[in-house]
Formats: sequence, C-alpha cells, structure tokens
Amino acid sequence: MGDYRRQVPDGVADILADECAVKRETEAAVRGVFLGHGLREVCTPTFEYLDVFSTGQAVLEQEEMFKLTDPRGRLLVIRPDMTIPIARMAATNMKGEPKPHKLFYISEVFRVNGNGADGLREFTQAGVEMIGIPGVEADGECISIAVQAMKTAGVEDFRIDIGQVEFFESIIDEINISGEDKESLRHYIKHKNLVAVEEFLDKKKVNGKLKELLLLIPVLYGNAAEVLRRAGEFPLNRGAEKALEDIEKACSIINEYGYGEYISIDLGMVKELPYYTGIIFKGFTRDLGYIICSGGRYDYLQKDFGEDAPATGFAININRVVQALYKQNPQRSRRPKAFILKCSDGDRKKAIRTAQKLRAAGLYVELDMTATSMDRILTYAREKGVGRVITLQEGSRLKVTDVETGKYTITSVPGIIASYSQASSECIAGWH
Amino acid sequence: MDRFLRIALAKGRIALQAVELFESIGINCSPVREGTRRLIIRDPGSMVEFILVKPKDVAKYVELGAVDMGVVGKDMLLEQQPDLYEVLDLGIGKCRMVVAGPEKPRVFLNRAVKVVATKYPVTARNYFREKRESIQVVNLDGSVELAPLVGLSNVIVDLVETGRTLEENGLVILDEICPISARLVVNKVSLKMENERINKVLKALRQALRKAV
Repeated sequence: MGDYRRQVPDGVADILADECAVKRETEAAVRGVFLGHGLREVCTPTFEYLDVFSTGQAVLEQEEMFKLTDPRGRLLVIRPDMTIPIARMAATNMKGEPKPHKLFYISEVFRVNGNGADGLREFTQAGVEMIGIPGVEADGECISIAVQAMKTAGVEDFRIDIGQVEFFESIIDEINISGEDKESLRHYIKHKNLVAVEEFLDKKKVNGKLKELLLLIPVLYGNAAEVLRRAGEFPLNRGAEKALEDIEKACSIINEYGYGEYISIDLGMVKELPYYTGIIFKGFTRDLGYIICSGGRYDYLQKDFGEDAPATGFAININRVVQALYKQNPQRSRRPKAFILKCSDGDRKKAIRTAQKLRAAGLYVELDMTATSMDRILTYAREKGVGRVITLQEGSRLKVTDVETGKYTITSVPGIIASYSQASSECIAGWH
Repeated sequence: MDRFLRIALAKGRIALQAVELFESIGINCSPVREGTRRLIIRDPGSMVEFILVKPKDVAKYVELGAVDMGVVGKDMLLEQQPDLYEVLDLGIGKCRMVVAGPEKPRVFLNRAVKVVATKYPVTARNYFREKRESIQVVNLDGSVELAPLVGLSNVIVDLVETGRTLEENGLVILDEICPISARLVVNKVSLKMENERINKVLKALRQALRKAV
C-alpha cells in the first residue's frame, strides 16, 4: 500500500479560494436566472438505493456508479445524475401536487470513470426539470433559460445546438434492420462518419432518396432556417416531419425571447441517452473543446416510477463553465468588496467598530491586528487579491490605500460605503 | 480570423503523407517535410498551425479541444473510441487489422481460453466478443509477432501492411478484422464554431482526394 496522505484521487480536486469564489458566483448567477423564471429549487439525497438508477429507462452502467452497502446489506449508490432522483421524487413525494412541476437543482454528482472529456469524477450540475408539460413550448423555454443562464454567468461566444431524436429514429424505422445494426448506424451518424454511413447503406442495399437523406443527415447542421429548408426538401415520414415542426416551433419561441443568435441546429445529433424522446440540445463555447450544458425531452422516464408524465430539462456543468470563464477572462478582479483594516493594540476597539459598520453595509473587511509594517500588509493584500488597505486616522477619518498604485485617499465610513458597496453588481456586469 | 486553425499530425510516415495532401490544397508545411525538430509549425499564409504529436495522442488532443483537427490512424480510433467527428478517409497509411497466428494452432498451457497478444486490447476484446469467444489479453508494446513464437500467446491482433513480417516469422493471417487508413478527425465544438474555415479545408481535401483516385 502506498501512502496517499498528501494526495487526492484522480478526477477530484480541491477548489482553492479564487476559483471557489468564481464557482460560487457562477452558481449564484445561474440560481438567480432559474428563480427568475419561476423555478423552485430542490435537493435529493447524496446516496440512494441502486434500484433507483438501474431500472427501466435508467441509463448509467453499474460500473459507472460508486456503490456502498447499508447496514442491512442493501446496495446504495452515490448519485451519478440528478434527473433520475428528481423523477423519483416527483413521482412519489410530489404526487399530490398539481402539475407541472418546474424544478431546479445545483448539486454535485459522481461518476466512477469520470465524466467525458475532462474526466472529473465529482462535478457540479445546475439543472432544470419541467415535469408534466407535453408541448414543445417547454423545450423552447428550457433552451431560452439555458441561454440566459450562460449569458448571466458571463460565458462569451457560446452557442446551443438543437436536434430532435425522432428525426433520425423515424427515418431508420423505414429500414428493416436489427437493433444492433441501428446502433451501428446511430454511432456512425453521431461521429459524422460519412464513409462508414455509405458503406453501411450499401451493405444493407439502401438506395435512392432514403440513402441520399441518410448521407445528408450528418451535415445537416448550422443556421436554423437553412437546415430546416434543406431537410424539408426530402419526402419525410410523419415522425420525421413532426420532429422538424418541433424544432421550428422551439426556435420561434427562442427567437421571441430574443436569443435567436445563440442557437443553431444539428439534425445529426442522435440519441445518446436512451430516455430522450424529442428535442435535445447541447451548449458549448469557442474556448472549451467539449460541451458545457445539455438537455432534452424525456417523456417516459416518469413511468419507471409509476407515474405517467412527459418531461423535459437540462443541466449545466458548472465546473466547465468556470473553466471557460477562466480561459476567456483570466485577469478578472474577483474581490472588489474586500478590504484589509490595519490596527494595533491601542486602537483595536475603534478598528472593530469601523469594521462592523463596513460589514453591515455588505463589505468584506479583514482585520489585521499583527501590527506588521504597511509594506508587508500591501504585499499580503496583493497576493490575496484584496484591492485596498484601510488605516485609522484622527477622529472618524480613514485612509484608504490602493494596493496596486499605492495612492491613497482620506475618507470616512459613509464615504467608503458610498464608493464600494455597489461593487459586486458592477463586477458581474463587468464579465460581459 | 485572428486565430490559427490547429491540426495535429501523428509524427512519422503518416505525417509526411498528410503533408503532401495539405500542400496540394495550398497549405504550406515544408518544415514538416524537411524533418524539423520543432513541434509547432505555423503557416501564416493559410492561418494553419500544425502540431506534431505521437500517433497515440492525436485523438486526445482533438477530443479535448487542444487542436481543431487531427490526422490519425483508424486503428487508434478503434482502440480509444474518442468522442469526436470522423469526417474524412484520407486514404493514406493503408493497412489491415488482423488476427494472426501459427498455421497449426498449438494447444497452449492446456487452457480453454485463447491468449491474445496485442497492442490493441480494446479492439481485440471487441472482436472476440462479437465472435462470442472468451479470451485473455496480453498487452504488449511492440514486436507482437514474437508472442506466439515463444509461447506467450496463441494468436496476435495487429496491423499488417504487406504481411512480410508475419511470413518471415511463420505466422499466417487467420482473419481480417477491418481495413485501416488515416482519418481526418475534428473536435466537436470546433466543427460548429469554426465551421466556415474547417469546411473550406474539408472541401479542398475531398477534391484533392477525388483527383488522386
């Protein structure tokens, strides 16, 4: 056995103060957007019975989940996902409440083998679930909320790609092939592997318009109107037609929100989670090579928990958003409201009173009672991202020194409050 | 267009052949041809930047978005199953993934399971799973042909180009798993965000390939 006392396992990490501040601000921004749309926050247990995650539509492989046993030997898992526990919660504890349930959560989830490209085994999801709304209006609203959340969190240059799983699923229903073959074709389309799609179709003797369409699906992405027009040129069955109508309607809702510029379409986006039944979407930004949010409609998941209710939702990967924010704006000042108040034994009481007044106005005031030199305090402040040092002067006057420039002003408690207590909102606005 | 479009190439023979293709569509990468030691080669004219990495690492760079595109052998894609778009068969680096072994299979260690030596454990497992055969994999790094000769395995799963190495070591191809060639792969976000530039390259490459046939 090695000695791992000073290490953490692969795929988990300490979050140091600077990053933690950004993460919490991001969560607060997203929470604000969710609350603003009338959604209500819920929590579910960190661990649950394995059965919750392993029946019916549930999608995660057993080996993806951290398992525990309870004192009676029953298998528990540490939640690998939030959609399934919320489906369970809605179908049981919220059964008597009138629908729809418009819920959200901000929670850590856990995966044994890490989550996709960045391989994190613990990460934070901020997500929305709308249970009991069948119409595509809810999908359009979900996507609009996701756009608003990205914008408010300060993510720049992002986009959301929209697809509808039934487009491809209805089309392959026309070919008489086994489930396994369908899975292969789905896999090729997902990777936009035109060579393999063509080989597959030739082998299965699929010809004519159907072959032409299947070969086009991987490249049917981009501008919404343009993609819908090109897809509409083909003779489509009812399922595929309806899929396009769904997308069109969702897009017009998103346009009404004023977010048309943030969306595009990808009809080659196929079912990656078996529970998806309609519109699906993925959000990404230029500065990160993998998706930062995803979601879609899942009309039959509730059935696994004994309730018949259509649903739709999405989750934002907060860790990835934070990563994108860092890449886009590494120099961001993060502590505009933070001060250090220097005092010594003789004026400690006065310093404490002053700090209390500033704190009551929402400022962050750290007392330095070590009586070290101003130089050392300035160095410390610079390292910790604190912008200003306050020293007590004659009477109620205060000297505020700017850590970066060394310049100072003489002011008072009301003066500081007037200048800096609005700093927080400015900071968030400054992200855009 | 302030950003360079980044393309990862697998160092070695495939890089040289890929360079020919890229040069034929007007992207200058002469330093690669001339065997530079630099790992990043820029062509400001076309705003393309080449990164030279190990063949095993190309897909990782693309999947994580460290580069926009990459040229990588299908063998690596089968083995690593990365989440990316596999958009073009470049028709270079052609060979085959095969199962090979001695002509007369020997009874080995008196065991019912077949022992398979390979550099491609995932590919080998997938192939034999489809055949519904139980196997035990010995994961080697090179000279896989040696394994059946010294009794380390019954068969091997490996890439074969001409078949000469197999022949000289008294091994025969028992089954062909699939043909292999170099593929152009694209990061999933890049394809959307840099669509215009990437599509321009794709279109030009497609045309060049058609001409070459």
